[in-house]
Amino acid sequence: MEHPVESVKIYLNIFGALMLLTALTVMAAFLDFGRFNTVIALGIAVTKSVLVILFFMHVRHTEHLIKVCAVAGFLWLGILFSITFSDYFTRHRPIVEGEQTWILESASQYQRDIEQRGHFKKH
Amino acid sequence: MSGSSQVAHQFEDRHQQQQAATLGIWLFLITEILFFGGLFISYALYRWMYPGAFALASHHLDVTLGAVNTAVLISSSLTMALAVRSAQLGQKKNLMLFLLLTIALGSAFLGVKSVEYAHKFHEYLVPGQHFYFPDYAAAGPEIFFSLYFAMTGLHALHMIIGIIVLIVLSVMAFKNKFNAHYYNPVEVSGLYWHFVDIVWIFLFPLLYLIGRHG
Repeated sequence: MEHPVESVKIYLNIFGALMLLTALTVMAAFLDFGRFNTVIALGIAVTKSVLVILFFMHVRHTEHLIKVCAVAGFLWLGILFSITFSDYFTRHRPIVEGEQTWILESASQYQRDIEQRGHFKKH
Repeated sequence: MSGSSQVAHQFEDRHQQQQAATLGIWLFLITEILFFGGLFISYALYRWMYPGAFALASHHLDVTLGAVNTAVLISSSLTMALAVRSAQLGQKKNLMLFLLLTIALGSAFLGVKSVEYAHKFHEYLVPGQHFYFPDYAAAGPEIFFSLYFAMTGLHALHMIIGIIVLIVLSVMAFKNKFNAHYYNPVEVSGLYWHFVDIVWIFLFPLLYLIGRHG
């Protein structure tokens, strides 16, 4: 047999942990942590995913190549998120809740500076 | 062992064949991560742009049904892991039992999902011509529900495909195609099933639990 066979006990323990974390995420959602509600929710989701990946998907027992693959997948997702966010979060066009956002419009602060004063202001 | 050699000729041995199968499914799962990732980044940006609308729209989702579905799917991941374990140990009866349990739990998940979709239909929350959200006068809620249906719909499609795969696996197991030395299809399907579970683990808090406090 290639991989060691995981015991039923471990599977049941992980299952219990996953159910507990689910209950936790629901309870935390109904409490006010301000901005941290999202952080907590995502943190718990990531924890659950790590447990599923390591134990249910046997990654803790697999070859290093598979571990690299698992990390690489989420790394690429990280690239998608970080570069996309770096675009949107550095746009200075004010977003008004409820109004339609014209995301194709140029929203560069530098563009606006050039239009207004002919050169861009050094910050 | 049944039938001719279960190691295809291009592999040196069973172990390499199993490693290749595992690598193959993981490469596919990476593409799936990015596939769902596209929807997740859309969700992230639109939630950032319309925070109030998203929170209000999210309250129209039933947290109880969502939490029950999460529990059902996690249970199905357990039964799937136990199915793979049974295959590793050559226990045909247990393998079939756990595969059937996983199918049952997956189907239960889809049943609850269809009940939820029916609710949305009756409450005029399906984006399009008949969308009606009087609680919020401006843009935003329809975007939330577009993402809700797109993401849970794509996830449900993956569940359906997974269940079909598991049914095929059950038939194969019944016909003695697997043993302790060859169970690659079971392991590979298990990895796919766990991935679909992980997607839901993220979908549930992001869709159902926005701004539930206060």
